[in-house]
Amino acid sequence: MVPSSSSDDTGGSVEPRELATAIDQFAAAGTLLDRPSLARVYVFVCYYGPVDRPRIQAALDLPKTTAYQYVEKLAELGVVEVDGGRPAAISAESVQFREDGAVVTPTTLHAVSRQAIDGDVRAFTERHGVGTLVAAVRQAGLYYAGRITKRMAADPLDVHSGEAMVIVDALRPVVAAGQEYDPAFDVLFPDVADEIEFETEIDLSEPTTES
Amino acid sequence: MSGGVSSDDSPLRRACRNAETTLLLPEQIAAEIRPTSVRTALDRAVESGWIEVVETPPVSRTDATRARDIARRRIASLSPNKTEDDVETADCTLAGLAVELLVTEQPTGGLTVLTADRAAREGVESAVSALGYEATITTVSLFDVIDDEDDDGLPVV
Repeated sequence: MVPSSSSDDTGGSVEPRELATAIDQFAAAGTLLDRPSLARVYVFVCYYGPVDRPRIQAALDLPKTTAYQYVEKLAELGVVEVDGGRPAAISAESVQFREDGAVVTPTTLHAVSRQAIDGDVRAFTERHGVGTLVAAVRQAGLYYAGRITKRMAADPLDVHSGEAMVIVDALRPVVAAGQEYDPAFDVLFPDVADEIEFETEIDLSEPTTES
Repeated sequence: MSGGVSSDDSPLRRACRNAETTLLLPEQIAAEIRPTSVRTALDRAVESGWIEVVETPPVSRTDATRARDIARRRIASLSPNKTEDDVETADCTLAGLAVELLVTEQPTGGLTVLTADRAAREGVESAVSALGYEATITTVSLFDVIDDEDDDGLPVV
């Protein structure tokens, strides 16, 4: 996050409005990285929106109050917009946050959100932290692009090979959905985005509680 | 063999039963999955008899060590910024092990290497083709053998 400097007099002063926006984005990314269930609602809106609250509740199998509270929180963070319709349509801008080589896009947040529903991702993150989970997304993409074996993901992540294999498997839907729906996917995979493919079909259609 | 073993009547187990075959799992791969819960499923599979954990013979025959080296070079070549040192030993040992077992055991139906790992499979295929073993060593993707329909039942989001 480098707000552009509009005055060089004091060696890097930043226009207040730009700084405020940048800090808000920083806070939003930080909050979503830290809250898997909240991130899950954001990713759903980003990939399948515009949607209304009942659809969010049904697709993600959330209690009504939780779904409503999460939408409110996401609107407060400035990452979704709620229009004035009845029922209100909720839509999302694709969050893209960059800071010195660290990039957060919807695909990143999707990986983080998997902690809410996938025990393998939860265990991995509890053991190694969210930073390593995010790094694992890149390794998983390289694997699905046929560039590395699953075991070769272990060394860059500093995890055991067995764990690397489990997390690469667990992140398959994240890479697949990102390739399909994340406008910033190329930012994560500038080198291999077009080479990523899957040997079996993955159902990327909007989840419902019946599925 | 690498890939998930997650339930007592998994698609993989059914495929083995239909083919009337036992999967041989190298000991070093069994050791890799020991810390995770998959080990319990592996134990059950071994008890049921459709997976057998085999000691990895030293890859010593000339063709087997050549296979391992060819696989290593091939896998390294898949990434512009990886060298042979970056390739995990277990991935290229698979190719060497296949040739070693073929030569020592001489199974009548030949030998099939089963893995879900695309890059590892390319390593084995390169070695098999370079050394002329195509008639006796087949590589098969796990997904050619099983229907991987929502194997963990989780929604996409």
